[in-house]
Amino acid sequence: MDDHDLLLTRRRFFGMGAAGIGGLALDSLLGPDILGLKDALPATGPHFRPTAKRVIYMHMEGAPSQLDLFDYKPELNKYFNQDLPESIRQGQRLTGMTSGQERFPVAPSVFKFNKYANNQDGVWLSELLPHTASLAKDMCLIRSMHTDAINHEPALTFFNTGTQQVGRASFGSWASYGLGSANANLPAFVVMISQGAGNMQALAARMWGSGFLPSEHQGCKLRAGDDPVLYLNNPKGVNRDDRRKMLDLTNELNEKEYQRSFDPEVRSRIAQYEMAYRMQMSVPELTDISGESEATLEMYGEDVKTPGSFASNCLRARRLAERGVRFIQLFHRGWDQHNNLPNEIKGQTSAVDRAQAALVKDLKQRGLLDDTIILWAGEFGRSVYSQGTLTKTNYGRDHHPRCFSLWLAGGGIKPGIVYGKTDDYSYNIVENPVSVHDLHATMLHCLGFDHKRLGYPHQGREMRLTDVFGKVIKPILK
Amino acid sequence: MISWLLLSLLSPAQQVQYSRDIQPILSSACFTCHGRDPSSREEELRLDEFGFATAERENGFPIIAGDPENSLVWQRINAKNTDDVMPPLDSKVHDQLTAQQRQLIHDWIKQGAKYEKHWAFVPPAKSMVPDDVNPIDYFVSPRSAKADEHILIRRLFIDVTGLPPTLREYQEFLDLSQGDRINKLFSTDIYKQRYAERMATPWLDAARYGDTIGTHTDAGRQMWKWRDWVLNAYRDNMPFDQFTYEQLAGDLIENASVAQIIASGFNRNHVMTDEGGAIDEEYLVEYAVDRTNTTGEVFMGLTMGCARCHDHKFNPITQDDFFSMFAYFNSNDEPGLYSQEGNNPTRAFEPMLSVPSAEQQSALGKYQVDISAIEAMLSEPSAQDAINFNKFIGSSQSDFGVQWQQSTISEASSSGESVLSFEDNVLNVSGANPVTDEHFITLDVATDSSRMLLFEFSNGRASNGNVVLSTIEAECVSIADPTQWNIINFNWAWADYSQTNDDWEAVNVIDSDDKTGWAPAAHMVDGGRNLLLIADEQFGYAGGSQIKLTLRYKSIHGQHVYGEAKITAGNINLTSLASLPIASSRWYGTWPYTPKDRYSGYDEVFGPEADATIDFAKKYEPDQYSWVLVEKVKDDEVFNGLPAGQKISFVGKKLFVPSARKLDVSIGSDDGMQVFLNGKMIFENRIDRGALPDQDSITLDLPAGLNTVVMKIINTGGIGGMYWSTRPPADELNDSLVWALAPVSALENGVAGLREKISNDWRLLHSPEYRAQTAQLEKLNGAVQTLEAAVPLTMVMRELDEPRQAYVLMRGEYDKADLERPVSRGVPVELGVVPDGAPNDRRGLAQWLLLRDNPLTARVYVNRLWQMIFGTGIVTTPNDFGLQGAWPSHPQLLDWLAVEFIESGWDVQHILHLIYSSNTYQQSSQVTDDDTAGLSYFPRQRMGAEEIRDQALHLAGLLVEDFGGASVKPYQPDGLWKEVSMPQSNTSTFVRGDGNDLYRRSLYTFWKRSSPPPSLLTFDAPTREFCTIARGTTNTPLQALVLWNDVQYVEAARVLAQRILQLEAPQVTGVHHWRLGELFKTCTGRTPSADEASLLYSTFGAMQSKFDAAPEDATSLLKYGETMIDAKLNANTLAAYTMMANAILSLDEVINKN
Repeated sequence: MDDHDLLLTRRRFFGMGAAGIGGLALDSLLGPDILGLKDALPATGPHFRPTAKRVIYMHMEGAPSQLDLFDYKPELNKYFNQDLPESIRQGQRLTGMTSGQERFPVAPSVFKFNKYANNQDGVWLSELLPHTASLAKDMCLIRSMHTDAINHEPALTFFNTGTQQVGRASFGSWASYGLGSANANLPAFVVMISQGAGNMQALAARMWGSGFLPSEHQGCKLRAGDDPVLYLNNPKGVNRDDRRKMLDLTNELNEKEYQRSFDPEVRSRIAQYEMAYRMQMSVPELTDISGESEATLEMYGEDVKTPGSFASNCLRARRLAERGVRFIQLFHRGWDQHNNLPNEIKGQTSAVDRAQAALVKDLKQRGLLDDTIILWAGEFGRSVYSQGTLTKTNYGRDHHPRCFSLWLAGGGIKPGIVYGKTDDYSYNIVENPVSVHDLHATMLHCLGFDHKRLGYPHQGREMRLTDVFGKVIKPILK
Repeated sequence: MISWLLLSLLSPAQQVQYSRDIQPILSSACFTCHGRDPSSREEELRLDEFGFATAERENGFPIIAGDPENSLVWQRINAKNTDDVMPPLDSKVHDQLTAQQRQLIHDWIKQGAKYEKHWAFVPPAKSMVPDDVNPIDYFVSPRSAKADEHILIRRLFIDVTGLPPTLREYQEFLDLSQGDRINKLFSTDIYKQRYAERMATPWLDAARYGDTIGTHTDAGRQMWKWRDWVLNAYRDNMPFDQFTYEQLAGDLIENASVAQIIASGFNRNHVMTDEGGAIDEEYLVEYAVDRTNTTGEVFMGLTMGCARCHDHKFNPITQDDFFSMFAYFNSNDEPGLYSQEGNNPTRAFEPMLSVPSAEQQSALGKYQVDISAIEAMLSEPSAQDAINFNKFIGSSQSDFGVQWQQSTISEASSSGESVLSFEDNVLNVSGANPVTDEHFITLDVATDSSRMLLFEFSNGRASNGNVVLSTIEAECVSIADPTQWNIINFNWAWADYSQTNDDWEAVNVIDSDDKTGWAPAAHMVDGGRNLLLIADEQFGYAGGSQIKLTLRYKSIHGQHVYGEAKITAGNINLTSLASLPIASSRWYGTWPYTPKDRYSGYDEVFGPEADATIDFAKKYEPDQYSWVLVEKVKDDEVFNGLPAGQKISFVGKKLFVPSARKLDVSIGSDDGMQVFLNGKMIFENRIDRGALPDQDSITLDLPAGLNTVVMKIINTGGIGGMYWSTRPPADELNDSLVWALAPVSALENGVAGLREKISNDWRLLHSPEYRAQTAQLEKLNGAVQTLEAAVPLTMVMRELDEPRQAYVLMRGEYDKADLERPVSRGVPVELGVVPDGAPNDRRGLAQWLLLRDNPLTARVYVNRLWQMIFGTGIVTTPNDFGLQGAWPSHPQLLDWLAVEFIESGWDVQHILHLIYSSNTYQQSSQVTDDDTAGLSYFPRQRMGAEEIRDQALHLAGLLVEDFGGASVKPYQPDGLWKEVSMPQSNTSTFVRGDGNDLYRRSLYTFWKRSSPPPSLLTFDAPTREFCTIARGTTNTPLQALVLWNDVQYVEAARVLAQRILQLEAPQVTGVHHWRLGELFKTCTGRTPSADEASLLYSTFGAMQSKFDAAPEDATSLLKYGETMIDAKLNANTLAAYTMMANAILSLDEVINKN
């Protein structure tokens, strides 16, 4: 991050860098209370020199199976349909969906794993992710994640806001609060959702909400279709010139209101209306991919031309990153494979594999990967034992919070490594456990924040994304 | 912030005051490690009480009163050595102390280090106020001039009613005194309703009111009766003590009224779960914790949450205190994990109350009387029915031309080691019972022509008595000419009972597949079994025939064979075959197939559609799917379990008819469908819809024998589903009536209760009297159901008979109860005690909250009233009156108001009246430079989300002012719910309301908590998932976009423009000047200045020219919204005025309370 950026890191929804209209002096808009946050403390800006300026977080809602994608367990074939040993299970809490099951038969993955060279002694990855596997030298694969929650709703809330209960601020809103925006015409925190093929769990506005933080930090949904940002387009019959004329009128009348009231909020509103007007240009420019080269489109795959697809969102993510958006979150739904997993997971991986790999490569070739943290994760893992009927070719997997895998890349994360280890059943962690709080702490660290100091006073205490937990996982940092 | 506050409050000569000046510093900087919580205490040092802070330690005294220089505290906060300095440099809590703060601590120690109780924990006391001054002005000393009258009237209207005045109201109120204005607003019916709607909104935020459960399926729920209770309470100015008491304990009041029980729903507003894997106990704890926290925040202005896991670090709330409060709330008669049953979006989750109106109540009672009468009548067959039934049984055989023929077993053997013998024409199986077996039986029949074979089976030989008969084959030979062989093909089979799970239907014995079979469930239901087979043509020879039968028992269920059988051949009239019911298999399915795109599935062929039979062995490309049994698909039930999203699925079944016939079928699908009969498409409906009964009807033209029907469901998004229900002719011999054709021996032998069943089925299908009564009963039950569905439900508190024992939960975790620390109900020890004799339940808690000397309740609520009016409270942390909270800007005023509130009988309007009539309230809102004392001018505030929308509707004359009722769904962009919802959620699809629903006040908008109303959210409305005491106020570009482009605002502008154009203009030149002035005045309450007027006029001119040049643009713009256009108006002018109204409605002056 250069010094100019550091100067601009004030609490803001949209940066004020390009503001200034109708003869208003920009400086006069930058007073501490200009945004109506009289009770809010100013964000600190980074505490130290960051290694990343932004985050692209691909959340695989429903929880992908680590056993079929990342956590290679060839020995399991020997235990096919045998009961999971009690020494491994240790009477752990189960979900209501399998707690009534009489047996917990081991279901080895039906998928082949291949070994890919990385910056250690190689990494085994599933045949389902051939494109992602080509990132082996860029990615940091963590196989020792664990979480507190065993069901989707609380686990998603935990992963996205740092606690299982509702009411806290989401990761992206913390980033927006801490870093502010680097683009005057786009929100600092953008959320995109794509619908998968399989069993879909619920999302909720709170997962990108601002909780107790000022609501300007909440994620702004960027949607497929004609109105990518809600209410962006003028009504039919009203063109840009008309809007300009009406806005000129509004500005002049509002300026008169300022002269009567001396309330700085009025001038802030003038500036915000101008930003809205600019957004009406900048958002369509952002979502228009007609200028992308054939080679680029080809890299993301055919789906990239289907609005609302994961591939389309990946390309948008790159375009958002280029334009300085701080926190870009992609949700891809449909990973909750309790039954018929071998079939269903193929639908999911074929929708994401190529595009997510393309995103990383595209960022890299544009020099953006170095200061962008990529996170690819679900909210927990899946069980080694089969839910429902187990055959040689078919099985389902229940929720498993005790271990799961995710990967990171870029932004100061050590590339080409595998961190952490699970037991032979991918059931318990045997080496280097990483909690969700640890992950948050580590990513905030890359963004230049001491997670213990990025706080906000609420309900009589200093709230943090990591609550009172979390430690930075130093070994995965460059 | 703290230092700023101190600078503003402290003059140099002033005495340092512990609770105001010192405690906030110590609380932030020291108490985390040297405060109340023993688990995080460092060095055994406490600085929160005089006794601890002045006690001698190894290295000296932390504080020596009067001698800061020798006090360790003073030394350590000034230490130069980085290891010694306090708070520690690496302290994670707060930054280092400022010089200013250190000086305060110095002065405080110097002045004697006096500790005192935190101000908010000491009961409020009233200071003396001179009689001739408004007490608020006495404490505040307002310094700005009075605001302009139009501003004052608008300010008062918005504060009291949430809506701005109309031009007429400006006139009406102009000459009234402020006191009269307030009185008029408080006493006129329409204003009282608006007042209620305005006052309820912040209460709904605090009480986390919503219309869905909040998590997982985010199912819809009915709770609006509680919301209406709140509305009624405000409308009637219910005293706040009653308001509090009934919401916390209404259900426990002796002989509670329905309204009081509804009020207790306050504690049911929290978020709930219906996520399959969730654990009951966990959520029972979460619900009770939410109630504890919300009660703490709403009524006590304290955050209890920290004390769930450990003693509160700052406030006098221990973990024991927390769970003592918790114990008031953990004994509700509720599950933790709610079921998803019914998928009813207007469900109320138990415990709940049904709240019928008086009319509904009496109608229900009347229906019940009628229903009971019919039910009594139907409980026994009437005399006439008995006669008719006997006639039916007696004459059936002859009516249908049935003859049973003398049939004699002449040979019997098996393929294995079992031994077959016969005696008195009864086959007997004995000896070994091999795993699989085949029985060969020869039957001699004297007559020349047969069509049927009847098997009367008994005595299953498996250890559990059950049987699986795989296949029956038969051939026939002439006795006269034994070379004449003829294979008998059966095309219909019927049993008096078949096992209900899986597919064990009788028709399985007539296919050649030995893996399928008929199972009679002999191990589950008593009695023998009858099996009737019909051949596709007559069999037999003149002079008598021998029928050779093979019964194969070859299923995977070993030894499941019958031990006894009687077999009889028979004949039946050809025409009578048509009266026999259709025999069918269960439903089978194969899916999911993926079409190329959304609608291409209709034309793509996947394989199963072209097949004339359902073949389990067959695999279809590309995923090698095959047909499998799907037990969940049943006739007459909507099945919504087909694959979600853009998927194709097939369901199919086999139908066996003894003779060709037509069959009417009623069907439904989600989304579209094609129906194939024997491999040919006979019906198609290309449509996007959800599956319901009776969406389409078709007629199947069935040839005799086996038919295969396949439904291809083309799902284009969301869940997939289907429905199938046959409509056989009324005279069909359905179900057990087939056995009316059988000989008496079969009725004796058959499944237990067969005779009764025949009798009942006959009555059901053929008694005119019975059918008339049941039709009437069905009608009545339908009416009751409709009525009951219309009866509002609401969720309430209901105490368990035996309260759940509460324990301190270690680290707050639901499964870590500390059994050595049981707790009983009680309030935080240091905050007081429940009054003597109060009941040991929520009533006691409420009584304590409402005690005259409770230090918090009254202060907390008057502070929130203040916040509602002035934007910030006298205490700027309205949900934290604890040690970390802000010091009141005007402590004496807060206390005076709190005591006055109590002494007035908790009269909310009395306090509001005092505030609204003060000069402080009536000051100009012009910002002045010097506001060190606060409130030296009236703070301008952007209006709330609901107020901004309501204003636009109101000024346009669109607002529909129905008071209360179920929530409504006004305009919302497409797809928002679907994006985040589970497909099976009953709130996954937003269906916009119509008519009045579009124009109700915003507090009636349906609040889906996982996707709240987007335009309200943009103006800082909360998600309502948790208690919100103060909304933030942001200023973002997204707000401009809502005001410009949301159809609700475009429509409001259009209708407002229309109203202005419909006004009769005075005969003046410059009629547009006049109209623009009226438009501006309508929205702002004032006449535009000359400058403003000319700006308006020139912009209007530009717009008029634009639309004159492009009238199609005017047409497009005027299409927004459902309200009709006045066709008499010039469209271009109306469009230009619409633009003007849209701009004016977005002015800062208009969306602010000035």
